[in-house]
Amino acid sequence: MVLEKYREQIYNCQRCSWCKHFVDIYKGIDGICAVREYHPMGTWDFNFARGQVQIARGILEKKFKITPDLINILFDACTTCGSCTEHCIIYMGWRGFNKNIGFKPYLDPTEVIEALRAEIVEQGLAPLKPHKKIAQNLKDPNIFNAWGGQRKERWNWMPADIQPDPKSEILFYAGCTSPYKVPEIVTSAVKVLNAGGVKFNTMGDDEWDCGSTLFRTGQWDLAKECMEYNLKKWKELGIKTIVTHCAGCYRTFYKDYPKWSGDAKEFEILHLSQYIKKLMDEGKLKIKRKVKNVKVTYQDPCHLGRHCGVFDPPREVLKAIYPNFVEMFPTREHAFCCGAAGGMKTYDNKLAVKMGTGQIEKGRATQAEILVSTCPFCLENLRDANNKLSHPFKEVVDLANIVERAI
Amino acid sequence: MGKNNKMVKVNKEKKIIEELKEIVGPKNASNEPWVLYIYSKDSSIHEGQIPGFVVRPGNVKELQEIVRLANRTKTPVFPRGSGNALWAAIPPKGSIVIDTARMNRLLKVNKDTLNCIVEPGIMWAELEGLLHKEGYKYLVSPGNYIGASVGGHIASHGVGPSSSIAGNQGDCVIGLKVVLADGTLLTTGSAAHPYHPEHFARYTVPYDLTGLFVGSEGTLGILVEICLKIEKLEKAVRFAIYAFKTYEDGCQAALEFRETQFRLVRLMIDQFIPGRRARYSPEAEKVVATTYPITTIVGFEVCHESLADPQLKVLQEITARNGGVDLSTLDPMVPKNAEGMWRETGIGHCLRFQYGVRTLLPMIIPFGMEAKFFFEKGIEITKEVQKKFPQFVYSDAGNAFSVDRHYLSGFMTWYDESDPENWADAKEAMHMFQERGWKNGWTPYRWGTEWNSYLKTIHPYYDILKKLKKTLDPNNIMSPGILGLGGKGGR
Repeated sequence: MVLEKYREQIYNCQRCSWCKHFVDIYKGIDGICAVREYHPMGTWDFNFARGQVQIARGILEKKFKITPDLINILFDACTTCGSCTEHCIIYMGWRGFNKNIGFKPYLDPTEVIEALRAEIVEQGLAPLKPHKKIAQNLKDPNIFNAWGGQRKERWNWMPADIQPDPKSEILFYAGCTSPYKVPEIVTSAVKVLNAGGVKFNTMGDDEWDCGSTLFRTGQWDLAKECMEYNLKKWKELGIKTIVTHCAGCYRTFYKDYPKWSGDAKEFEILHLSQYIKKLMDEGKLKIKRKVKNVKVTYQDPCHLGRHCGVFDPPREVLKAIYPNFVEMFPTREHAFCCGAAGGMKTYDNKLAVKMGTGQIEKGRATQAEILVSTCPFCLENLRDANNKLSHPFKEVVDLANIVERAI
Repeated sequence: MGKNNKMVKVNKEKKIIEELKEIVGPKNASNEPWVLYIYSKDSSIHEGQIPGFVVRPGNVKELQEIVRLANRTKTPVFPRGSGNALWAAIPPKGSIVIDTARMNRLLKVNKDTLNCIVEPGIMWAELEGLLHKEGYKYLVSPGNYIGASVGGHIASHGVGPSSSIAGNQGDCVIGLKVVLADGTLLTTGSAAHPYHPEHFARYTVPYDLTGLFVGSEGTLGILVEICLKIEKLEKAVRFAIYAFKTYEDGCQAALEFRETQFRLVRLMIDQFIPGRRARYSPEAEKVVATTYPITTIVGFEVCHESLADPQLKVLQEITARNGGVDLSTLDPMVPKNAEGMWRETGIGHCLRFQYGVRTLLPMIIPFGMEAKFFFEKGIEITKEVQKKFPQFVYSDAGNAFSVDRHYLSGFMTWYDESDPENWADAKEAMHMFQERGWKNGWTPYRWGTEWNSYLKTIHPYYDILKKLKKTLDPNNIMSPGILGLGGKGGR
């Protein structure tokens, strides 16, 4: 039983409800859970972390049967954005906000929610149809990616004048989403790396999935297969550093892989924004065109920011190009989810876009004209949301594209 | 249960859920076992009970219809705010849990009469945010103000770290609208006037029915509209922590602080426990641990910045006269302003809950030098319990925050609900605290079902309570079992 390993965490929930609607008047935080705000049934207890943790407890204690309605809720009531974890009283204590008085309980509600989904999958009651399709695509050797595009077309976006260097210890990991859905991101990404004089290798047609969506939707067995595969390939290629532009891939490599495999610790994982910042600091990448008269703002991808603590590099890069950078609110660790993560976009696109609309409105409140992201998942959903509004951003764009234009 | 009886029960349940769904819409009522499980327990040490239904009315009319249905079918109802009570506010088996989460609006801010009107399901933190935007604030909120609903706190006449001047939550209520057991909507206070139905004063009718429902914990009616006192946001706030050598000194200083009649929005007394002051420097903590184990935490507000420092000086003089020190002279990290006060005693107060699942017995003790007896007795009781149950960590016997003219203190123990033996021992430890605290004059103020056997010994108070219950709720549908009222229900 997957949940057995999480028993201690589950019983550490004291039902305080901070995950329901956290407020910090001095920081201006008023609510933390996008699902609670935008889900039509958002105020039911099962639609925020406390209720989900109690469901996990009920399943452990065999208190009820798992019904289709319950399964639907488990996948429709959470984007695994981690905001509940960030504002969980137990997690705050564990992280060291205050000392303990002899013991220090641990609870990461997001981790429990992911385990709960894995439990449902283990019991054979999920994945749900759209999530199952992802797994089917990944297992198909002609597809080999989450979204169903042809395997042989995976690198179609690669500029002809840029060639991978098989001797390089740096790997550019393109991921599934950008190559098939927003290829302009990866095109810009490699151009930026190239401009910085970075010789990088790729996995070519052998690149598989990072496993992110699988981890989030409870399909852990296949996710771990992806992980083993990638780690093995990286070793074979003599890779030391992996650079990815995708927040989902980054979180998976940076947090999930080390959780499940000791081998993962051998690799340095960098998000493209971190790498660009490094190249700028080393003087290898020069910003030639600053844009002073345009206001831009930035959406923190949950997987990059809250989950992995990468808040500043994207901002620093962006500010170097757009001095008129403004923060949307709330931001950083308190930022609302764009709505796409945790399998939400695949399973309930309507709700995902609704949440995205909320973020677009928050962004537009800053009077910014451009919204920048560092995650193709966020980008896709925010663009969908932006297209629905009467006063949209002029552009919703990835940081890689912004940098490419400026160098 | 015989086969026929079982069939009758199933049919009755089927009819009730159908009617509930008709009243509130299919998405707002459920009798799915997994939903019932989520709504079966509060944050107390007591085990949950599975209700029969959960329903979420969106307005007063829907709630009235639900109660009428319950009364007609003699099905218990149990209003639920945030579901994190610490005193066994547990739904009766088979009851209709009325989740007030959808009734969560701030209806009105009356700036002339300094009050706001809210629905019961709004969270204190949400309300705080909304009022701040208007430049106002409420007077009292619970310790866990982020996770608690307004309705739940009023229904259990709660207190909070900001109660020093404003008193119990009930003292901040101007009027109510309450749905009674037969579905009637009762208005209390000035809003009952047929030609001027506005909330602006509480005592405009002979009997204070507002007071009857504040603290009734859902046994007499369900609060659907609450008029709360508000004040303009303060102009200046000062915050300080003073450390004393003995309880006597600390209590005397606290009394003198209160006697200044300054607008003290925080007044807390705290026995040193390693780690509690962890956000301060280790050096300061060392001094406190060895020389000044009693701290008083004071925050006050004034309407003009120029008044703040002279008042602070008075408090410092009182501290010095009682042999105390200003902790900020030892530690620059001690907060001094409004935000610091909020982080230390608002959110910081909640952070004491970070150590995990715990039982808490909040109890009332008198103010002034008399408090010293109770604190010392509390520490004595704690030692006795600790001797029998050394596996637990205990806290708070020597810690309290001031409510006007009294303190709120209590006993706290952490335990593990995944370990039945540990859980049972914790319950036993809590019973020891209850029994010994009670016999030594510690006075509970929120009862749930936790204090039923004690409440029943208070005569003739409890007898009157029963008569009131019988009169207002003859079918015994309103939270039966809570406050020891109403037979089978409850824990």
